[in-house]
Amino acid sequence: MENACLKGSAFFRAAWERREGTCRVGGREASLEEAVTAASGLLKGARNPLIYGLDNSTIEAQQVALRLARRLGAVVDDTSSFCQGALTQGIITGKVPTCTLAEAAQLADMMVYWGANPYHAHPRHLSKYTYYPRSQYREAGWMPDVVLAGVDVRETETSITCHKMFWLSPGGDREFIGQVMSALAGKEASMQAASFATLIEEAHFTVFFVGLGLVYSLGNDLDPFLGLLTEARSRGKAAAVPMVGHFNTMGFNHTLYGDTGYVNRVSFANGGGPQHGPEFSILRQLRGGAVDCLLVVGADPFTSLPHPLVSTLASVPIICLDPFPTPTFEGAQVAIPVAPSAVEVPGTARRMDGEVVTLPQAQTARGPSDGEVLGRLLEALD
Amino acid sequence: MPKRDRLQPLQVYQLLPRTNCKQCGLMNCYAFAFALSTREKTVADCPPLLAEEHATALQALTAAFGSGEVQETGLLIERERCNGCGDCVVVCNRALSTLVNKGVVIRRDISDVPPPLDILSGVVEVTNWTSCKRTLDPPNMCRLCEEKCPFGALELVSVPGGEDADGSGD
Ligand code: SF4
Ligand code: SF4
Ligand code: SF4
Repeated sequence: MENACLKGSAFFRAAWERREGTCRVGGREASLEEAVTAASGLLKGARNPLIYGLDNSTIEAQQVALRLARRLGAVVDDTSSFCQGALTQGIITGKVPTCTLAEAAQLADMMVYWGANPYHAHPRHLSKYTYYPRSQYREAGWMPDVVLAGVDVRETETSITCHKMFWLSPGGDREFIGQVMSALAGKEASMQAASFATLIEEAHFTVFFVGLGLVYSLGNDLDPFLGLLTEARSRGKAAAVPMVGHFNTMGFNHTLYGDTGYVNRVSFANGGGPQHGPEFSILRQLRGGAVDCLLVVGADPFTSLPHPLVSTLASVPIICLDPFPTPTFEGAQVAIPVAPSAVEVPGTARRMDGEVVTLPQAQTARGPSDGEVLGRLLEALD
Repeated sequence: MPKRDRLQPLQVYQLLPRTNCKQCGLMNCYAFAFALSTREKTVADCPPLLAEEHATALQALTAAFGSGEVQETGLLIERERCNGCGDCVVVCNRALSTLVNKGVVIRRDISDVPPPLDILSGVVEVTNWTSCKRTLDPPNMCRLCEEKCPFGALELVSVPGGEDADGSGD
């Protein structure tokens, strides 16, 4: 852990220095038993509970959460429903070609960071996984013979590192893709789009690292991008990798897909089979006022959700499982501190490229894991 | 904050009072500009700069030369800019690259050369500076780590015991 990047070492330090929190029910300190009883009481009484988060939990804990959701007839959703869900869905269902980071590092001769700045979100993305490892396979050069391209609206650390930058005006991604497509079709296009098209034509294997910049600019309608991907593929190999934000978002999407056939926004209500649809996103559920109990696992909707929804959130009883005292944790009706995954809780997770990684236990657990608490909630319902 | 362009001595000179008053102890402002670039002097060594008319210049110079301390290795690390991305560690080709010495290509075996830089607790540190090609005899004016740091957290300001010239890089 000594060699982790600033983010990583801050996380580990926070985990190490973490004070063992106490459970709280209605703002008062409580024992774990009392908290579990109170939480299961809330869940039992709820007509439309929603389980949200799980992106920072191990796959094992996610599976317990899904059993709980089934049992409760709850709605399940995670951040991917307003982040990378559309792309992830395509990838997991096999409609969108993807590749592992190792494949990208060894085989890609063009990498495109689109609307992403890994230096902030994933500081080691280039040095450890994609661009720089390539140099191991090159005898004399440190400089991999890979075209590193970036598409963005502003200067970032990534744009400085990229060899070729394509500058767009905010929201201009759709138009740019259109221009690139027409350049690929041999029609007239802007200079910038034409040179992007040339890069794609010359590359044997292009990997697109899709950042939220692109997703938000396309308003979650990824069709133009997927069209471009197909075009690029018809000229060689091409793949997309979503730059997901939490360490096990992919794991959640895979786990839920394996269980229900959908990657997020699933409802187990009415005892029937799982239903899926945009109406089951946490945003729509809260907006519609349907949620009467929110179980948050390792997420902080108070900080991450759009502002107007936060007041709605404040009126919903929340059960929060988190290693750290986030605003959501502080404001929760029932707050249960859990051991942080990947430090105190061993298990498995899926990286952004879908690869399963085994998380070691770096230190003995102080307190129960989120999976254990979820398991106890499940027992308490019977 | 991404890397900014470094001020060249001439640009530094343009920002100075240019009165050659010698209060800094140097012959003229031009000499001071160089001394600032190599960190032999600090912004505070030029008293006239503190006058109000030079406020903008002072700000720019402080931003460029204000923080960080030059290590004896000649490497200046602005720790608060570094986020531990590790690019500088992986680009360092202390061994991979070939050295041309009097027309003879020498390939260093790097397998047991420890990296000059490493990341400790999330921030870059000099761990084995003797591995750096700049310490070779004759020194190789490599600047890869400085050039590749996307945050501009590294700067090679001088070579201990050697003439600084612009590096071979690639
Ligand atoms: S003290 Fe300042 S103004 Fe005077 S010579 Fe030195 S650099 Fe120039
Ligand atoms: S100057 Fe070159 S050899 Fe020295 S540490 Fe930096 S990259 Fe490595
Ligand atoms: S000095 Fe620069 S390249 Fe090196 S780890 Fe820090 S931010 Fe990255």
